[in-house]
Amino acid sequence: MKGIQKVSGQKILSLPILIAVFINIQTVLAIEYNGCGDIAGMVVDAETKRPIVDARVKIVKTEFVTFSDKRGEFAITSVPDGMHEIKASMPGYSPEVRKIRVISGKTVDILFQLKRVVVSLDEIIVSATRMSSSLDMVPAFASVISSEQIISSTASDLGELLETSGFLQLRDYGIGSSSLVSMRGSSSEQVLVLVDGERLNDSRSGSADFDNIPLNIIDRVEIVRGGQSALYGADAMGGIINIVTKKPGGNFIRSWGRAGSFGSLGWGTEVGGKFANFSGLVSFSQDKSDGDFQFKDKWNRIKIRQNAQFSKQNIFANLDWRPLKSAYLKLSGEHYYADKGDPGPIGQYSPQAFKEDENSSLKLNYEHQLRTGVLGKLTLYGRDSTLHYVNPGIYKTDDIHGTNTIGGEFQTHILIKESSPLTLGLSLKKEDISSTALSERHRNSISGYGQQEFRIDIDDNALKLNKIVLFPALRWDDYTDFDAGISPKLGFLARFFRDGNLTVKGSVGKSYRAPTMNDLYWPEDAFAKGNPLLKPERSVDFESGMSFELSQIKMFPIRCSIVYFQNHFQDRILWSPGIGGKWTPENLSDANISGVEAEASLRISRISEAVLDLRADYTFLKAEDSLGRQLLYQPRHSGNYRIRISAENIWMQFEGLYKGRRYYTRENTKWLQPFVIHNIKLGFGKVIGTTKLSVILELKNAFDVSYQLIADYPLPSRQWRCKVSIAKT
Amino acid sequence: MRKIFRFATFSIIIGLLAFLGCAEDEGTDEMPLEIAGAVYVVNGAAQTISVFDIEKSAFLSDISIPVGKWPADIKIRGDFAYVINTGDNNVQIIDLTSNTTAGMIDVGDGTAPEKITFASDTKAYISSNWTQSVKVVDLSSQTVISSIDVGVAPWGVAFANGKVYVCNTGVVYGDETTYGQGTVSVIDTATDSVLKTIDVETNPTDVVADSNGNILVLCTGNYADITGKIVVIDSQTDNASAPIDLGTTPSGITITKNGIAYITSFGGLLSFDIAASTLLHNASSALTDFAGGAGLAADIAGNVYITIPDWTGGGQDKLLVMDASEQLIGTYPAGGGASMVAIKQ
Repeated sequence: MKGIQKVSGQKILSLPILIAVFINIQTVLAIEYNGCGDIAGMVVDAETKRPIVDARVKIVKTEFVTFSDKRGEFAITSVPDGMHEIKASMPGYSPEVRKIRVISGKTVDILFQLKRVVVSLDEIIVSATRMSSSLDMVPAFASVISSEQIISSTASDLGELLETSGFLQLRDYGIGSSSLVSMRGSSSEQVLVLVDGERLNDSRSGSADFDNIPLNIIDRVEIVRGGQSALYGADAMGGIINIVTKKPGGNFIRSWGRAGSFGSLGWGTEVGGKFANFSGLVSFSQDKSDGDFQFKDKWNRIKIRQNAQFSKQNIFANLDWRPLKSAYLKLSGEHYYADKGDPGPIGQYSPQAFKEDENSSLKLNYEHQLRTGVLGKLTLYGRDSTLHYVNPGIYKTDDIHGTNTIGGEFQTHILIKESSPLTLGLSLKKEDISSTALSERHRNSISGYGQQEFRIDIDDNALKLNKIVLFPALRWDDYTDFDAGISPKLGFLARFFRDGNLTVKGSVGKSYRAPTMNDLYWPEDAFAKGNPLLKPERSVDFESGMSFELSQIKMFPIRCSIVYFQNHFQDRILWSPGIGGKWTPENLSDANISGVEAEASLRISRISEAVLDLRADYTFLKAEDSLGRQLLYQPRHSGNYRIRISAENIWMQFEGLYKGRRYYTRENTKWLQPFVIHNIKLGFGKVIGTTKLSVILELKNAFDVSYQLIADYPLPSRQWRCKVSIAKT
Repeated sequence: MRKIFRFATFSIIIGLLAFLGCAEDEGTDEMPLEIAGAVYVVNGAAQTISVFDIEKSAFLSDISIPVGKWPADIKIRGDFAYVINTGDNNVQIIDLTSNTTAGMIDVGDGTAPEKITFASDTKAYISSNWTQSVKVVDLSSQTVISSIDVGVAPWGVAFANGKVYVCNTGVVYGDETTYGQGTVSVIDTATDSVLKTIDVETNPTDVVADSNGNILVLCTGNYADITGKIVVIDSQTDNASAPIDLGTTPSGITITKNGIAYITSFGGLLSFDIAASTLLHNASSALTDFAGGAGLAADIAGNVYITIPDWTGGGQDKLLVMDASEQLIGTYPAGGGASMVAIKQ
């Protein structure tokens, strides 16, 4: 077996491993003095029979570990005689464990056929490279909110779920109101939000409202930080958030109910089924709240928030069909309706204002293995969204903004050579806006993109370097109403210390944000007018960092990552008074952003069962305009923590977030005070036959901290939640 | 000989450079004024007040007084400045001897107070833009004691002859902003009742009174086809003059001791001789050194202090000083969104 790399416990040099070796001294002695044999074999995909590269093969309860090579082959030498359990694992696949007997002087051959997991794992990410990859094998720093985290949340919408998610800055206007997200010093318009790869940002306002994204449609959320226009085009200057919707998974029914403070009530049910080559899922949810929480106004008077009530309904359906073994068709649709009060800021209350949001979407995906190593994906989609805002108050408003989007995308993954997979894509989109403010506006675009990976296997014992991957990417966008041009990016990744999982990676690239329809076409009125000559905002960003896993410490596997990033924004669009005092947008200003993101997680487990999970992240952010002033609502320091203690049927979680000082005047003369919020959750789960019951109790803002994320928009004080769900398979 | 030639050449170059340097700065030298006092500049974007020492001709770098959201007016009475924070619905009282906040007057949620004027040391009137009313404030108890209904969207207020003159802009905001008849309500401060409502021009936003009892109403127009105008009301008869067309959209107004009203506009500073009822500088002959001016105020020597805000946040906000001969005599970097000005002498 050429190219097999022999790795054993003796080759590991790092201090923690030496300690681990010392702890397991008896095992080591056994290796030295008993008879030994070898294990060799291969790891392949159970379905395609293609070799799986970099699968981890480990003899359970020992330090013997190795990885499969580019032919999927592996070998472990000098294994003590006797019975062993050997485990092969690979992110995206179900691990497989085999019992073998090693006989002195002989080689045991073994073939692992790993099955792809239907439910996505939190180690897998699609959006970072547009193809399914391990988080450690993408050139970006990314994170995934898994389906388990979503199920164990009492949140009703994505904005609420992201409150304690690391590296994000939430701009929450309160219960039932808009919830926007920024990252790495960007504005919310500079973060691209996708649903299964389809753009959600509203071209009229530029951002996506997370308050209007119900959780019942979401399987998991992928967050990729840093500029991504080379893969996704406009608006990906700060990063992207890709919402991966639920997929059918056999026959099941699941229902849940939720209750909480301020008259919050919600319920939902989803049903999945499978018949022949078809499988489907239908999910419905409804939420409402009176939103009448207490807050302190500027005179420190206790007041009740008025007109913060909301009611939301949502239905989501997904039908999968596998007409052939090599083909896959998916049809999904969603309808969402929300009716919300708009309470206004402190002092300028709008007790009669309300808004209605209505979104409908339909999407068709078709994937076909065109030939060995060539996968084609065709996506067709349509989306219709309407916002109706009424404020009969002093600024009388009754506006309807409708956006209709249709588009299509063809993407192909070409894997002729294992070491250089190629992704190519072409997309077309047509957006029509019908607005009482902007009248009829249209934007069409055509885009082409490509990304290739160049994987170079290296066996450098001196550097402990075993793999280098380069990720050049390029995208060209052409819009009917502004000039976008070409967005390039080059990513790199180097893996060291296979067993230590040290990965060094980074990228440099260009991104841009499209001027919004409001920016371009705001009709001339008494106070403002749009500017059709606006250019896109541009950015050049760079990041470099590393992540490593100390998995050798069996009882305390530690994962850490740290990244330095830098982003230069040019031609930022700012509204200011022009001739005649009318506010008009212009490409006026630059910004320099740099910072460090660090993350660490630790699992203290009892043999194989996790009992304590600790996770913390911290962000230092220097986001300054050209005069050296910190950008609005960008804290220099922020962080999150999570402590989860779990036993067989019960778990408890403490989580919290810290936000440092956030300025709300450009001159940095006024700021929101730093705060720390803690949430406490208690969960109980019990499986009885094919029925699973779970109960979650949560105390949000447990220490009753008064805080704001946007000046003059108070957020709820302490509140309780309870969620009960029952699932039958 | 060569040394002499080199010296002469060097001297000529230095002299030329010095001359050019002076020429560039002509009119913007920081010339200390021989009068005492302080100019209080409200920085609307930064939400602070900066203090400009007139005698030193410099901002006091160690003083930055925080104010509230959307500051819209500053008036000084005695040792106190009264700042209207429209977004906070309050009046902030600043003790000018210590430059600290001495009190707050709550005008009420959703009132949007805009401008303040004083009838006496104990009584003030505040226009409440969102409630179509004027709030009467007892300054000793720092509370609103009554409310007087006036016209649509009141803004500027001024006191003269025992009466308060209130600009009713007539502007109804919304999807389609409409400009109704601009009027001025005349309030008798003895009875706190409206004596008369006078029709003026489109969108009256500011009003000032001179020492002769003339009330100058600045009508902004509709920012499009209706340009700004000045209407003069005789506070004895409460009759309005014919409007004087400014030919542009004005911003702020002040009156000097010489009876000249100066008006800021995007194109430059306009001026109006009140006694002669004549425009001295109209839109086409505006003093362009002061283009883009917002707030302004005049000191007892006839110098006018004019703010030039940089609403882009680019840090180019300025305070300009114009002397009585209408020359620019000083340019000083100011705080973000420098706008309203008040002087204590």
